[in-house]
Amino acid sequence: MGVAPKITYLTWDKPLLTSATEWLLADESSDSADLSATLLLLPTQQAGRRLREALATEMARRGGGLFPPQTALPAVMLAGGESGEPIADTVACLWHWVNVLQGESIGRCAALFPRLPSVVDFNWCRLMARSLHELRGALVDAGWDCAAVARSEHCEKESQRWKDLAKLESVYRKSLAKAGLCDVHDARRAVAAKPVLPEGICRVVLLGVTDLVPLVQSALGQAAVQGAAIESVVFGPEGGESLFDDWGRPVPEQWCGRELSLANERLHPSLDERTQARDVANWLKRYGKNVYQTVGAGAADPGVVPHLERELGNVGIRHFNPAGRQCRFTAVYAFIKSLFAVLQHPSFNNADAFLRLPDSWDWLAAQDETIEPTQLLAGLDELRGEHLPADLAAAAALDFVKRSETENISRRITARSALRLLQSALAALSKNPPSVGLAGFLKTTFAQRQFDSADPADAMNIELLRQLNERLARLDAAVPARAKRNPVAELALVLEDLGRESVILERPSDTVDLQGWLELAWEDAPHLLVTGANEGHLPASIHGDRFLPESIRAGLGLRTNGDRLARDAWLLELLLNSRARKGRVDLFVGRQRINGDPLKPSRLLFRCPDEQLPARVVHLFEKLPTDEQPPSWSAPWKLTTGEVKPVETLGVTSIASYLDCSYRFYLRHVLRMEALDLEQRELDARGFGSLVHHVLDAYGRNVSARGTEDAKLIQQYFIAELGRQVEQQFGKRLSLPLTVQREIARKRLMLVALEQSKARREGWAIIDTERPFEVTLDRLLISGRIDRIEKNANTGEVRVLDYKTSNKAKPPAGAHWRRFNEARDGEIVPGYARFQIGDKMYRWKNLQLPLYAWALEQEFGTAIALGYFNIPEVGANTGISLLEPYDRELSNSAMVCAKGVVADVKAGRFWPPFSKPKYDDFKGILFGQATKTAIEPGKEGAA
Amino acid sequence: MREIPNTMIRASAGSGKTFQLTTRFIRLLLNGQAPERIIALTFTRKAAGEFFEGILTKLAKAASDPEEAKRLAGDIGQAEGDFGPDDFRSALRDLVKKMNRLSLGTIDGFFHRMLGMFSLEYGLGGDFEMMSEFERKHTRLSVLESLFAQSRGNRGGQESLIQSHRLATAGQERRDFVNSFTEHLNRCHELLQRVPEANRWGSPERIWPSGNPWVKQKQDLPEMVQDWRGLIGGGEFSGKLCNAWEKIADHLAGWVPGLSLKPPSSVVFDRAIAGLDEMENGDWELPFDRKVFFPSKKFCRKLAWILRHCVAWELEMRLTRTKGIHSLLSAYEEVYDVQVRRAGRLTFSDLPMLLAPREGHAVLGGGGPNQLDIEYRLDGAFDHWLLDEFQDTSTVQWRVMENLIDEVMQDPEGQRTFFCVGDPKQSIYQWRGGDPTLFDRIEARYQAAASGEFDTISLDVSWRSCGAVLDLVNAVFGSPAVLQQFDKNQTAAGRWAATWEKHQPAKPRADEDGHAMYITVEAREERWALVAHLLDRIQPVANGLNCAIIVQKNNTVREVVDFLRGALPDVPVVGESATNPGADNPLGMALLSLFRAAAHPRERFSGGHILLTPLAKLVPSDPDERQAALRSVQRDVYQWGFEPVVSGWLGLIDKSNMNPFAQWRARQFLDLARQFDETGSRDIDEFVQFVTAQETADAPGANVVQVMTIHKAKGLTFDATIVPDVEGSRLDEVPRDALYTHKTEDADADWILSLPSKEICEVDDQLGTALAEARSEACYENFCKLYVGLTRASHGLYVVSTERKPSSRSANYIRLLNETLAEGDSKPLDGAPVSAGIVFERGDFAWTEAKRPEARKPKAEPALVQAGRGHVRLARRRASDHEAVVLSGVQLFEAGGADAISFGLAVHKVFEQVEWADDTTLARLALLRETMPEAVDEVARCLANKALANRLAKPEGDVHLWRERAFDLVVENEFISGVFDRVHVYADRAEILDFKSDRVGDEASMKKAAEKYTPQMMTYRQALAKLTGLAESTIRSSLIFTHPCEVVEV
Ligand code: SF4
Repeated sequence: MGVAPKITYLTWDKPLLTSATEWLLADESSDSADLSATLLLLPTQQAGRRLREALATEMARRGGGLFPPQTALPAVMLAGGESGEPIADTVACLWHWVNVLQGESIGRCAALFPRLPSVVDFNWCRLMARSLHELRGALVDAGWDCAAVARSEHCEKESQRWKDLAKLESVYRKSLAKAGLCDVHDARRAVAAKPVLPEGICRVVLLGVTDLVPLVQSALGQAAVQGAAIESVVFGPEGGESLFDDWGRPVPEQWCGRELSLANERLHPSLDERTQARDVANWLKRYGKNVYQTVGAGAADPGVVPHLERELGNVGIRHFNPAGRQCRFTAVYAFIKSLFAVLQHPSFNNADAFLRLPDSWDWLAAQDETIEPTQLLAGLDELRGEHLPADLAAAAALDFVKRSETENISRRITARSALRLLQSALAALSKNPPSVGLAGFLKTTFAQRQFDSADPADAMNIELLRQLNERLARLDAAVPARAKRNPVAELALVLEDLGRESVILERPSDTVDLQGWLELAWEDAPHLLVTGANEGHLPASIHGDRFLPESIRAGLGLRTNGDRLARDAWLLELLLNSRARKGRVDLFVGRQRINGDPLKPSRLLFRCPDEQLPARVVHLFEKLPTDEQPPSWSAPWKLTTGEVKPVETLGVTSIASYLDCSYRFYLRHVLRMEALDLEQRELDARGFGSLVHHVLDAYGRNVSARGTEDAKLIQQYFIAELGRQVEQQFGKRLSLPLTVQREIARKRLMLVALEQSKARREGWAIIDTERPFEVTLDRLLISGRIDRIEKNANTGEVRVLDYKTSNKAKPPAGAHWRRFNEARDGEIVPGYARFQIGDKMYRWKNLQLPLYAWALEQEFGTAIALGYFNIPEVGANTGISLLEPYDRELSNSAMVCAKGVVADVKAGRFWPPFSKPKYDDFKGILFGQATKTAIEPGKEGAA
Repeated sequence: MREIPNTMIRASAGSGKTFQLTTRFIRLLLNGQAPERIIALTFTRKAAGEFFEGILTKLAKAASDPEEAKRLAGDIGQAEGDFGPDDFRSALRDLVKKMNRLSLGTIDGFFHRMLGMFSLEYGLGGDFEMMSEFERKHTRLSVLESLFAQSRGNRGGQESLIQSHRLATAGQERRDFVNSFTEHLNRCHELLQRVPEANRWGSPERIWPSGNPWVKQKQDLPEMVQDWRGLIGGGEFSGKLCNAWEKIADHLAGWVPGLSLKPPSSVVFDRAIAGLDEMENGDWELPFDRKVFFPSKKFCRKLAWILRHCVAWELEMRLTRTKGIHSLLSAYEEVYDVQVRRAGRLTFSDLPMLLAPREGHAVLGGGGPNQLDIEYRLDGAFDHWLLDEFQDTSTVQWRVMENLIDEVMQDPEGQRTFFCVGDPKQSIYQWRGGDPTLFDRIEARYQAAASGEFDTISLDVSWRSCGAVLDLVNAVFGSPAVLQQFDKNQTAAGRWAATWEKHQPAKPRADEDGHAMYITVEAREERWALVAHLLDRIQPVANGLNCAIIVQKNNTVREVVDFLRGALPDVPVVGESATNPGADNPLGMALLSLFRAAAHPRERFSGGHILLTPLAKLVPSDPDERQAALRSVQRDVYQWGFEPVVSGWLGLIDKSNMNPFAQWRARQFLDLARQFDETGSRDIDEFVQFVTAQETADAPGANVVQVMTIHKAKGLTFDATIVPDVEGSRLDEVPRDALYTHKTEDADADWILSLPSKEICEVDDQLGTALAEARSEACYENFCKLYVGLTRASHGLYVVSTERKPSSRSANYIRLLNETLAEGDSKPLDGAPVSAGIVFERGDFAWTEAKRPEARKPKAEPALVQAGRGHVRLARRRASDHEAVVLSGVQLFEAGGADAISFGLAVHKVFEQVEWADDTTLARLALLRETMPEAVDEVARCLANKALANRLAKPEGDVHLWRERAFDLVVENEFISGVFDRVHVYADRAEILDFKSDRVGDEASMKKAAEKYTPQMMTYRQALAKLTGLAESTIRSSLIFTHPCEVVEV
């Protein structure tokens, strides 16, 4: 490493871009410059792009063109080369690490793993693998590996631990070697010893590279030995040569206390990322159309960038993020990830989520063109709601039996077809390595799709899929032939790695680039706005590392916090100095993160003379103006139904809803606004109720079963019928919650059987069950379904019963009426719904049983007893509870009420809404203030 | 002797905890302690931020002003002349330099860092991440799902899970399984993590070390009762008493565990169960109806037998249930650990559990990594510990730090120190594990250990509140005799009295006007109207006052916010915890419905909802077309993410529909969409759940009225507070069915049990004590809650409740307030919209005008920079694109992984190797065959074509050959960068050859392709002319299509 580069020292009183361009073209002719034999090493990709533009512009000014230099990051010196074995990429390395960690060796590393989890599973290995791979990546920067560290004196404090690391490392290398591969970090060390320059290059120039790591440095040294010219261009203050080392890096000791000339007015404390972004947007807006030529923006804290994108978008300023777009934010990535989730856990939910992605529709269509998205989506919902499948397999195995003529099962059949296709695809995926399974799956999905690389979104997809294919292919090569393939684990590694990639898209012209801190060095806009000037980002520092604390870093020659500080101090001074003559730099400092985490201003901002320090502190912590205050809550519009829809039939049970609140009745029963429970995992009250209903209905229809008085026989019947019903509806594979619920239903039915037997012995015989009726009342059709009609063989009495399965047993009276309370009910309960018993005033809540009686009057006369058959939780009162007191007068009053409702419904009266309903299905859209958020149905809305 | 003593401060509300901490920190600094060796921890991020800011600004002031320097020197316990501005300035300089190494932060943050450094030592695999609240909920569901799935895989697992559930719900028969499971999880998962050992859950051995005294009988209860019932009418008792016994018999005959053992309002039963012991001995006296009865021995024994049986039965059920809960939660925990924690996804409550695992009691500095390791990996050690809000520290948290702090206390040189500050009176986080008894335990322990070098200080001077407010606070909490009535056990009142000192206003506050009132209304519903009235009197907006309404529960926050929005439409009211910006308003809900409808075509709620909103105009009215439109919403979301789609729809909504509030919410909605997009998910349901669940606090400040819970208000100061939610049940009420944790002396969990009802607990010594303790704890926490609620105001404190009903005997807040505040008859509050009586008042409303804000001067806008860039940014024209292709999906996945792009590149690579084509060329390409066989074949086919080969052969004369030569050029403000595949440059002319590997099949498609490439070739000619100085007309350009081996001139 003895060879030092030729240093060129340029002062930083103008933008780097300008001085670098001038310097590079100093010896070139006017019409065409040929720099094609030069390799420029630059700190960022963006710097390379900017420099090539600048060079070309300069040549254009001279009237010529350019054979450009090659530009690259310094790490290019460690790439390529002719190492013996093919190089394993990250995924392959991780695969081998996982392989090692799953072996026995880790048991022999007590110093490294003092506390192994009871089960060393894939997840643990995956994270550990990443951690070890990254550790080796950090070490290689200075040419180390674990073994070398373990041998050195630097690891004195934790020598046993490093010996363990070295042990694992050697097992790992063997694992790779068996597959004929070389670790990526090892390969870099090999290349550094024998670097190969790109063809045609004979001169390498480091341009303002302040982060040169030792391994690259030695590679360059080697290249020099091989005859390449190595140069380094350093930018610094007049006469500041001694501030840099032989390779042009700032010397930390020289930079740790330099004063900066920075005025308080250029430092802008701001609340959080969003307010910083807003401040920047306000600046930019003031520049009007000059903005693109005058201002540059950047973020030392990358967390500000998304906010900048938003705020700039809001004020109509075009912007571009040179960091590119991360693969994990693309649709295709989300698609593969969702597929992976079902593969890993083939639950119904995961399958459902996957099949709702539009690319899945394409995949399905490629195999079964009858599967239409809308049908599919609806079918999936129905399938969940009706059958609560335990998992994907259970869902795919469902059979659908129509309960009525009109029931539509076609959507569910569509959904089931999709699920079955998915099921078999998953089988293929889990049997084959991803390069076959996944690739085949994606090929089918995208078969009909055209990807146009000129379209940014497609370019992104192409790149993503290309990278995916590459990783899959390399993984195949990396897995030893006899190793057992685990596609799920492999896919986990590939996806995680792929997700970290970014794809950089073409930059449109005339934009404000939202640059990272390091990229700002090459920004030449005279006015620079830098956000996120906070400690932790400016400079970044590492505190407490599980392997490499600061002390060992320094010993090993890895980059330390001191190096970072020096670099950032240099860069900040550069930004300020290159604009000292014309231009300005404004720095925005957040007080906190948007989630409330406190932030500190960057240490660098305090580099003022001592006497200014107190004022600087006061300035940076000054009280911020209060943020804009939220306006008070008000509805921007009112819900407007348009014309009132006529009601054709009125369900008996919906009358209760009308009596509760006529407006909500309209939404619920006329517009049929009903929400799906998407998180349903077990039977809800209604589902549980109908399951029990179905059993009892079947019992009521079964002549022999309903004839017996023997409780045991009834119980047996219930058990068998429950089993049958459950299997018919939910299939053979029940989810655990359903199993439990079946058990609960069974218990309840056992008690019902006892009651039923008692009733039988008293002479009660079922004469009808689940009887539908439709009768006209004042020319409106009233419809309903009666759970049970029975007649007493001894007395000839008839009674009508409704099954109730809520947890607590309810007396029917409480469900049908309640005391009238003027304060609560006065404004909304119409006169027809009020009645008196004795001197007390009551109101109707529900007319169910009275209307049943009315509907059956023709058949059985008026002396029908009415009641509930309560089937509550065990321990509460199972059994029959009659509607009492109930007499002629009450039944008349009920009919008055019913007619009142009919008249109102026919007249389209669905207003006013009740302000304090106990349960409000519409709270979510009425916000507890229906009159302010909705308009009477039929009235046209002026907001 | 230490220069700086170890110190524990009990600081009442407003007495300046932050002041104490910052002063302590500065004192250490000025005493030459290195800032990086001081660690100061607090609970909230906000407090941590204020702490740093406080230290810096204090130092800055003292550094620039001799007077301030004097004052600060005094504050840190030095003589005035000891330190001057220069000293403070150099301390400041040092602090700023080492800013990155300071450990000022939250306990959570510190634990996070520790775990990061020692993840391997604590069994984690590597990096980990903290889950957000939303992720946590989501994860919980998916773990449940896996649990169910796994158990399905094995019968035993399933059976045992069902069995556990049966046990956990013993005595309750709910219809729902998942719901009750999640309820258990929500309430008790953390407890399980703290106390994982099965033998502490419902284990009789621990509860009754000398044996469970309660034995169940074999006989059926109804029979036993029947047997005993026969003795009632034997003439021993009066008719009235007989009736009472019959009632009891009826009740007991039908009793099962879980139901109340006591028949409704039965005094006889109370006496019976209280006299159980005497009854068993047969010498029980029953006073009843002003007489005393002496029931026969037989009667007594039979009854006692029954009661014992019932108690035993109930206890058996409770033990079973507790065990069941444990095994249910453990089954969950097992899956959770593998699936979540081991995968590196943690919650903050995991941190101390991981750092202080229970089995071995391994703790930092103890059985875990040793002190040296810690110092090494931290690059330093902590000599000075400063802990804030000490009363909220949990036992587990303390256990993590204990050894490190012990070492400090035992420092032989006495150079290291410990400092903690808190207020036991503000212990409102016990439900989260906060352990207020820690204060006393630590004090006792360190007092003993440090032999007197441990100062304990109480601060009761309030810098926050003025006299009027403190008068009310002192009146409520200042009389131990009254407090005692609320806590039968007396511990709570005793503990309170032990630390209570009368609060005094500090100098500057003492002279300020303020106002404290306790007002009652007749009915609960009227309280909000009175709140509105008070706001009207205070006029927070006009007077620039920050004002809070403090309530007990989140639900009440919502209720109050809804009410005030209706009652005071012009006052911005913000619910601190209840603002769901995505879902609390019509705009957000309309958007959510749009998305839901897109994902669920048959959901009639969201579909119907859209049609009631202005979005109706933006979707087709025909149902089929509407569905198609909704599917394309879904496709858009899938392609671009949520933010762009939301933004697009917001753009479509008619601006006239967007009032300022809706615009405000629109921005917040977009923010949420962006946040969600950062998860990478395109799942609409997840998005809807996310948006619905996100609570954001609108940046609070003056001019808004905030409604918040007591817990949120802790640590905050307001100019005025209204406390209108002090209704509620008795202060020592223990929630029914909650799990009770009995603790050992050092606060370790001893046993856990779902406590039975009072009458049963009280017949057992252990459980009786347990219940009394639980009640005292509850009572103490309730004192604390009220205290926190009443001490937030600086100037205006308004407490509102319903009137105390003369009949009410409930020992609740209302009673406490009345007994401590009533001063004769209440006076009516004039102008109130409901009838309201002033029970207590100091000061008047006049204070509200004292603080009128000044108008802010607008800042002058700085000048713009006039210069432009040195290098104008250019538009870019892609000249060459080997890549610019349209690919089919199939091509992208062509077998062998060689997709079309890399094939094209490979072909170019191979051609690059061809200098002048001749007979030897093919042989020379053989080397490449290994890596790119297909490309070599392609090139070989081309070379076999005579015409084509000729074009690549060496021509006559002087010619330069360029291969793969890059160029950059600016033409008409466009930046053109490209690569010539191959150029033959002659002295007076040139020839460009460009290779295309498009799979053109026939003449027509080749023609089409050639057309596509024509502009590119024009650019190339232009570029070449520029670069060589040749005239464009002398440059010939050709495309070589390798697939058909054709040359096309363009
Ligand atoms: S307190 Fe007990 S019964 Fe209640 S949720 Fe927790 S575990 Fe379940």
